[in-house]
Amino acid sequence: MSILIPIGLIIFSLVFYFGRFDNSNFSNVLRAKSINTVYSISSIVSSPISLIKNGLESIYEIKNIYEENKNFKDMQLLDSASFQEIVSMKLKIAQYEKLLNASSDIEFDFRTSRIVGDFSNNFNGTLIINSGKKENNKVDMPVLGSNGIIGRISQVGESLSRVLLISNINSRIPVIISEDGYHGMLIGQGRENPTIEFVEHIEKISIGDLVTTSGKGGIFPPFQLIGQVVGKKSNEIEISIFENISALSHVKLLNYKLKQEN
Amino acid sequence: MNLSFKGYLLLNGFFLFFISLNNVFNLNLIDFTLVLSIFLYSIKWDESEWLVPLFLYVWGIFQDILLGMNFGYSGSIFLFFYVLSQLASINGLFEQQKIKFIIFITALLILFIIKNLFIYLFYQLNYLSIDELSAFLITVLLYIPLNSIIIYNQKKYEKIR
Repeated sequence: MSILIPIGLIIFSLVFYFGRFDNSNFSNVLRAKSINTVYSISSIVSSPISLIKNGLESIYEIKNIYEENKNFKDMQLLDSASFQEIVSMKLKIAQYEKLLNASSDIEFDFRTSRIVGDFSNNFNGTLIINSGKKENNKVDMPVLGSNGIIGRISQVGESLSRVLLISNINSRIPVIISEDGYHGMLIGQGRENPTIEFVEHIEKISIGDLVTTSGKGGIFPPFQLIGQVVGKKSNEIEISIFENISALSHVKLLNYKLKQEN
Repeated sequence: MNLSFKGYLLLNGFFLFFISLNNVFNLNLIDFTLVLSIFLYSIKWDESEWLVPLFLYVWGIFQDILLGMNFGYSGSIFLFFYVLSQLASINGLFEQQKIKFIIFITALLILFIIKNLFIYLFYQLNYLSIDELSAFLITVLLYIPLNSIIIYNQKKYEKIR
């Protein structure tokens, strides 16, 4: 008789899971309200293990500092060259915009948040960051690492928010590929590299082409770097993202809006 | 295993601690949900036990909120292995370690197929990868030492009683 209780609960869980109640408002509210409590309890319980892990990581990092310093010195020459290139390109763009009488239509503003929970390893890859409603975080705010877009905010709690990563299988981002601006849809693939589907003129795209946001849909601002093409099939493109998400400790939350007409 | 109040406290503390490890470790090759399932499968539960499945269901929701998974994912896996342990116990297969191991691998394989089929059907995504297969194999390998430790402790506990 007692075996019927777990069997009943399994059926209930499966109906919940396959019925995808997560799309409902109730589920979103429940998650947003409970994430602070759940995360606080689990971080308190795991704090001794976390302390040991952080200590060991710090020792490892100190060991690597010498090597990194040497590499940075070697890279300094290259960086100064690329810096020159960026400055001259910026000047060129400014001149072209002046010639075309084009106005910059987007205002950017960002703030930094610390990653407190990293669950990027599964097919539902997410992060938890230490800012929420109190800091005026909003659902769908774009989230960037130091090298490019990594996802968007999917849930906002009182003082924590959840970031849905571009590797998450639920993630869909409109993108443009290469300098010619071919449009496509970036789809998360879990642990694997994300792919771009619905690409126009796929034959004209080459390995190494840059992938940026297109700005369509209004969630992400245009021309934000995401990654570059590393593989091509008949109907989809594989990309490698620039950001090493597991190495990040902080992220930038982009607060952007179209410039108001005066 | 018939649990006292202290036993329930310890068990729930263990669930909480184990689920919280997800907060610290973000490993590709070790799936903590499956490792916890090894414990649930290896323990010989009392047949009249009805509180543990309710706890498992609640801890499943707790883990789903923490990891951002769809509701019902963790709970159904925990309860699946709990039911399997109960069924093995009812049918007298609990002492036959080889059969118990084969049942575990079969159950894991079924879970693996269902999970990948679900992702394929709902997301049109072939999620099978070396990492995914490795996580499956590591869970199988972890079963042997963890099961031995649990059996040893359970026998010791029964002797004391």
